[in-house]
Amino acid sequence: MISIAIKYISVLRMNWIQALEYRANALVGVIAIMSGLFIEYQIWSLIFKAKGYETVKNFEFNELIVFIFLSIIIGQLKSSWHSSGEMIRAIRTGEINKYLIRPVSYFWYHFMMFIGFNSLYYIVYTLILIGFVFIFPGMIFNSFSTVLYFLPALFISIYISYCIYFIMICFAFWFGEVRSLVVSYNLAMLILSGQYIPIRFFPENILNIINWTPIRYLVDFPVSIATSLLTKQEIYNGFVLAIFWCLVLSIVGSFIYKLGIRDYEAYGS
Amino acid sequence: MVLRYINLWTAFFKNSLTRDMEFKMNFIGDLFIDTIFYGSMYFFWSIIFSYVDVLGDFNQQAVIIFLIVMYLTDTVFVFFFGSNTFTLNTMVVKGELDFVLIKPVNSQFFLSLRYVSSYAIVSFVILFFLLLKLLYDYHGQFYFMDLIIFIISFTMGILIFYCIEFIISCLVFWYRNFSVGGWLSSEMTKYSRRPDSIYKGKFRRIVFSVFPMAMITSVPARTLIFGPDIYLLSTQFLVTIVFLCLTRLIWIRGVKLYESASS
Amino acid sequence: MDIKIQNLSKSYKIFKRNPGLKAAIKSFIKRDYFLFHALKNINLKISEGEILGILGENGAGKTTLIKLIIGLLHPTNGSILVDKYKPWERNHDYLKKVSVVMGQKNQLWWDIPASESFLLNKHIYKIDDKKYKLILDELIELLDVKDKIDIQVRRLSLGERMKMEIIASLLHSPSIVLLDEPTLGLDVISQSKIREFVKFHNEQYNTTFVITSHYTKDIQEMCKRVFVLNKGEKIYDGDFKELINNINPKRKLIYELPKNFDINLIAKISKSFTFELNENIITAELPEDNLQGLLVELLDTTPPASLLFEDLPVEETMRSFFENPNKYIK
Repeated sequence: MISIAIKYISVLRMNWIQALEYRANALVGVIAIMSGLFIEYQIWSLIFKAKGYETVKNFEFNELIVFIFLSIIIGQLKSSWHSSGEMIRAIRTGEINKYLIRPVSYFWYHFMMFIGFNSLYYIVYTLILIGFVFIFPGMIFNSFSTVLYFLPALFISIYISYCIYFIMICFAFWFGEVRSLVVSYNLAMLILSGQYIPIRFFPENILNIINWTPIRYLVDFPVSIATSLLTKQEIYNGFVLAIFWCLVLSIVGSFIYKLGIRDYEAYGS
Repeated sequence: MVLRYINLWTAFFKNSLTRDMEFKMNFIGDLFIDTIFYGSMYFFWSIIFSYVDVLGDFNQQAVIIFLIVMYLTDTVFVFFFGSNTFTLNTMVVKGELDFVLIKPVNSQFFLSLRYVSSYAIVSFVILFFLLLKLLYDYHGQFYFMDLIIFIISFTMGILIFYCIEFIISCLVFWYRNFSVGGWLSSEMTKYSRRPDSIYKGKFRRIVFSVFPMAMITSVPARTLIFGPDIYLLSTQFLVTIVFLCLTRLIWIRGVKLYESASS
Repeated sequence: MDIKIQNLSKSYKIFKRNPGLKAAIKSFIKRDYFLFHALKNINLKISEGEILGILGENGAGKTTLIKLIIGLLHPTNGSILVDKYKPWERNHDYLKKVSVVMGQKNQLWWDIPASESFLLNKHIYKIDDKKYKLILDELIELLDVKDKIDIQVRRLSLGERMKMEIIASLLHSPSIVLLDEPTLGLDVISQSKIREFVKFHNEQYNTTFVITSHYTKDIQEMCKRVFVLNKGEKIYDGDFKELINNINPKRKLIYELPKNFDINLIAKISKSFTFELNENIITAELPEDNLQGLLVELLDTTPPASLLFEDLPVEETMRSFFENPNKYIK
């Protein structure tokens, strides 16, 4: 068991080293979230002023900005443009065989790659978040328990996101190229997961649908925990459903993968 | 000279079309991505407009016209430049830029226009007719002079867009590997994807000058919505010229650096 | 167009870091650079119509030299002059007269037939229709790829792809062609096809070729003159055969004696020459003069059933040369 863990941690470590190689990435990561926040700030300050709102959907202006800021960060951490592209390429070019003949699980190997590649951003964004807590006390993480709930919720968000990528990528076994599917998903999720506008601002009917899908757990759930918007009961219920989704997606993922790899080997390229 | 480059571009186009026909699925897939992108932007603004009726001097109808102009900018940019600017990173990393540099053709031209994304024509045609319809609904008639001035302003907008993307992708010369260039430029050009009326104060002056994001889509869109504004259009012209010269300068310096860095 | 290279040096900065996570973090904050000298004080003159081979181990500076000649790199010191052009200015007139093929890189579009890429080059180099057709047909004929030019490049074999690359780079009839590892990874037949082609093209059009290759056999068959680099420095410039003779002047003689030969006579000869006797076959590896002496003696005593001279394999000779170049070069 421990030796297995070490095996996967070494994959993680390789990726850290590689991520550190690119200093520009850290810089761009910071610019990206700051600039994303700045635009939202412009829009919402205009809306609050134009309509003379005190609150919108129970959010005061500052609360809303903090919520969006955190959403942008979480949204960034769960998304993968790079790793997913690499995984598709591996299947298309047959490079996946390299993994198949090694005693590692393809799923976990790439999960580590996924986390490893983003690791630089985890570090940078954590630093920004810590700074945030000190500059705006009481806005986020105002009790230790929120941190305690937030961390597993963040992990679940990353895991669910990875599973969805994994399932989409498995379709490459049959169709060869699924880049457009993944890119479309990424673009759609920018809005639908609530990375820029909180999903509670969505029209009632759309919100109801989203609440019954894993999308809710990508951004909204961890952010709501961090900003103390949920009661204990809501948090527990949320975790139960989130874990349910983790299980469902893992099972679906491994099922499709097995099916795919069988067809891939049979007709392989 | 000009004729030669037109001929060359036609050859690029033919080659690209041959390739795109080969991958029908990609062709359809790219159209699908566009649809999702347009859809999600529309969704974003429809939510914003459920909380407010006007954003500065843009009402909802005007924002929709703005959106269509923005999509058009995007399509035309993608058609000419989209597949090129960010191949620069891989080309530099893998040393493939060599083949561009040793051709007896202007290397910036060659690099910027080599691959044509033919699929974008489909979106372009649909969007263009949609724009005409929306304009008619908005004004109740056509102002042809405005439309002609719009096309000029729109072209300048595309050129500015190109300059920004090109300059960002040239950062690879200084960073050796700048794979995040695409990300950075999508964050930067996001400012051009919002109507300029949301920017206030000093920042507003910035997006109309040194960081000319409002010049890309807002100025052409304003021409259609509110009629041409001589002051804005002449600044746009100036900015286009300055930025084009800037890309030239940066390209030449970057290539120098590439030469001294590569082995 | 002659190529004149004088006191040419090229060095560049590279950054280095030690292995491990800790070093990675350290280099994230601060990077150490050091200067690497790829070429040191090179003097070389290549005349029009020559085929020059550049030899050297990995990292000796072969590719750097090629890139300097084509104009992709600025010299750090010294000068290169090709006719009246300074390559690094990349004057378009100059670029129309030279061409380069790099074995590990490709200029052809991957997903479309090579013929389409050729057409693109026609526009790039402004080749007129008649001339284009003439040259293309000839190249296709020579390299024997008539039925391949309309197939997508990605579906071609490595050898076919290399032939296409060569066609693409010769369409504008350059007077200087630089080949960097043109036969890398090719099978024996494709290799020899390309060698023949280079020799033919050189004779027919007086094209200058500068070739680097890992396969000494390539160089041996195509180039009379070689330029040998070691760690960025010139260690030899001159006739290839002479170089081989310097390194290993021995040749091999295989002398088959008749079945009923007199062992005593042979034993007498073996006092003044070293050779091996295996049943009735004598094999000797000796310097030319000695070998001749041995042959005279043998012919005097016992006429041969058959006899054969063999050159020692150049690959091996060159390997022993690169293991200790100073031993052979004064």
